[in-house]
Amino acid sequence: MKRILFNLIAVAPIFAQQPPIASDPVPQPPLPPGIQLQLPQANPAPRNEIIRPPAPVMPRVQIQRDDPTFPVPANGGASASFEGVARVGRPIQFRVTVIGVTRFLDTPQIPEVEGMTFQAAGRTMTGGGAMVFNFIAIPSRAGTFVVPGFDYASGGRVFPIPQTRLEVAEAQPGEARYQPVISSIEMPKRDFFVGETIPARILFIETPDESPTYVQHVAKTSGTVVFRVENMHRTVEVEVNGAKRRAIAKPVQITPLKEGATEVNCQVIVHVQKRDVSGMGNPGFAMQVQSTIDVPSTLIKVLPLPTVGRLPGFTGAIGQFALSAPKVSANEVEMGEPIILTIALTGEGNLSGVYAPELPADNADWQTFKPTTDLTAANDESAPLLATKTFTYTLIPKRVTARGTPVIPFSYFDPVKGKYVDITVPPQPVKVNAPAVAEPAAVAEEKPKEEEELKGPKPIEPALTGLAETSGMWTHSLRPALWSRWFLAAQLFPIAFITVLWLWRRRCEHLAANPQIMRRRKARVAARAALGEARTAARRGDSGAFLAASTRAIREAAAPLDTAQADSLTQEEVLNILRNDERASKTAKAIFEHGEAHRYGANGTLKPDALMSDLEHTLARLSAKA
Amino acid sequence: MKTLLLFLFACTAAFAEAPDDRFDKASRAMSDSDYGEAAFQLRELVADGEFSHGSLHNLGNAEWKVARPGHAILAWERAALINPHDTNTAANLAFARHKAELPIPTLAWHESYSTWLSPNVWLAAASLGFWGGVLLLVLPRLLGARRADWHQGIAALMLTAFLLTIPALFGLNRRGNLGIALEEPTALRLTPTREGEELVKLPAGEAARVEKERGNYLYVRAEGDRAGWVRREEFSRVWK
Repeated sequence: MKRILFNLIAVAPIFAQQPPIASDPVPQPPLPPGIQLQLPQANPAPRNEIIRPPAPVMPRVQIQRDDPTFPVPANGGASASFEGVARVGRPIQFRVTVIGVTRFLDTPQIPEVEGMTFQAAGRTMTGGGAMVFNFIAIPSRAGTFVVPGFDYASGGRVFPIPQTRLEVAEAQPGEARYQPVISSIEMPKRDFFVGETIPARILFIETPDESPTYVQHVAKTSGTVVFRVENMHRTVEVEVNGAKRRAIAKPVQITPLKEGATEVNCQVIVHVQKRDVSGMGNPGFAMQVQSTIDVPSTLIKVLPLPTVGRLPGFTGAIGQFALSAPKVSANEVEMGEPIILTIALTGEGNLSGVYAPELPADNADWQTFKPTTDLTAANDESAPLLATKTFTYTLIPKRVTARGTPVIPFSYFDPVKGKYVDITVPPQPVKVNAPAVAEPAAVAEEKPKEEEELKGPKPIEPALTGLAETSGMWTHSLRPALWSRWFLAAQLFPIAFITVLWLWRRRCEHLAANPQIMRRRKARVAARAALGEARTAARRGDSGAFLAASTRAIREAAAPLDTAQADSLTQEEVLNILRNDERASKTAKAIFEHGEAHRYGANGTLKPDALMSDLEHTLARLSAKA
Repeated sequence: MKTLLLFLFACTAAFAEAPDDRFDKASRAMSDSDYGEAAFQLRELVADGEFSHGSLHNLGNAEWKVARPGHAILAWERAALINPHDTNTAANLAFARHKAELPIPTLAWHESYSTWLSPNVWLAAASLGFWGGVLLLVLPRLLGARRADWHQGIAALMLTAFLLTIPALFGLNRRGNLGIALEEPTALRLTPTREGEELVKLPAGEAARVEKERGNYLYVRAEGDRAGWVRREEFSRVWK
């Protein structure tokens, strides 16, 4: 109970043996080809031990009570001393002790000493009010070093630190030079492309003199690249000059930003365990310090992405990927009902910077929206870039004619093969039904500007055209004339015309087949004309003209009843025709005889008016017979 | 009284504007961006039964400007009926349907064929082809002349032309049922009554076919077999 040792916060006990970082040997995961440091394959390698980042680094503080080995200054104020044997280039512990304090004090600044560097290595506080500040001092030459005394002010008090002397001896014959931790950036040996995410790691390899314990953080980087440092690091075994060495690997992802050759390096804060700070050849007598390591540059060659052979749907994906089978939320929807189309891109590459492939803007069957994305890392140690990016599209069918989701052009660039690979999303069958109650399709509003910009080149949209300058021909109906009455009536005219023409043709043929009809008709006309002349002559009292006209009328009327011509008919032939009608026969005989008499100069007593009625009767009888 | 009526008729006739005057007035109003006035003048022409391609095309533009897409599409469809080869009218129809996201009416092959020429040109071609062919075959015989080879050749050509017009005439007959929904939205009802259940709503400007009529209602069928009764005031046939 007199000696109670308790640690409040202890990262590494001072002067205590540090446990080895490497532990059980297990098969080492394969490394990318072309790395600078090869892991041994013949023997089982130690299991990689993932070292999580520690809590914020606090100064190592150890409070001891009644520790008889703890050096306490005799004067009760402050003291300083070197511990161990000093040799050129090798660390040695330098200790500053302050007593009579009740709380933690700031680490004192050691005055500059030519040829010697100091590194703070933690502080401890004892239960008796003593506080010890540890430093690692590295002399760069042999001889006597004097650390001048100085006043250390802290907590409102001033502690005079006395002068300290140190004798540094030359390195012993055959003794190796002090070797700090070896660091390097390990990445595939090939040319890279702008925008590609390169899986790399920073290696911190132990030496006989120093051993890395954990990587605190990457302080700064250089080169036209983007460093993305993972939180974890792991212990690996590497081969250096044929010898196996334990190392800490810090995975990083490097993205080149510019084409051309560039040097990549970084500065990393690493906690390093310095062995044998006593200088007495005891490796267990170690001390841990925080060290800033400048990782040597690595030259890489960065190429631009080829423009030849670039495929549609390239949205910046560079790596090696595979597209899973697309999934739709439903295979049968109503028009206007949204469906979800999900596609997943899995592989190693710059998935975090890959945009979703855009749907064609001029799709008449589907209304599309800006897709959403989700990135899920595989957390695979052997493939740090392995991840899956999921693209989710919301689609609304606009027409029942849509038979499947639209084709989505998609491609990526394979940096190993150096060419673009087509992974176009094929259409998924979807049946679109007419909605039970459709929503009114309002006049399209202008879409958000962002959405329009993401769609890329805009298709040529139709526009309202100009006005007609002239009215054109006016009409009183838009309805085609097919159903109007006048059009139907007009169709009757050709029918009537053809019918009339046909009837006329038939009549002509009939008359041609029956010539007596025409003879009768002509005889009737001629007789009627002669009768008219006879009447005229009778009214004038011109018996000669009356007789001539009457004779001609009788002959014309009788001609159809005989084959002879009218002028050639004799009195006997006429009387023969009228033999059954005494009145007509007498009248014809009288007219013929008086006519003959009048032709030869005799003036008869014939009275034309008296014969008119008989003549008309005679002509009527002849017409009736014809 | 009779004299007064005659006087009023004479006054009305004197003040009635000629169609070209109204067209010019509407064109001036359009130039002054007074689309309401232009639409009014051109609507009056349609109400008076005066139709021309230019007036209907400009009426469509004016109706579109005053935010009546259904009436605009109807006017452009009618203008395209009179002059199916006017690219401006066709472009306006495409523009309006794109903006309003309306489906393009699906036409059967004979209906599409009938749009190659205006309806009256098809009718004239059919009449001339048929009667010309018939007369060339019949007239020589009726007139007692010999039927020459050229008679028969031309007759064959004209009758072939007539046969080619038959699908177009059939298509014209089918297109006579096409109409446009005028109001936004136009409800299709289950029954031809005011209280009829609304089955679906058509956006203004969407085309549909009239299948039957009952009173003040028309039974129409739109793309996707959406069918129902619609009020006459909310729907108009393209061929009035």
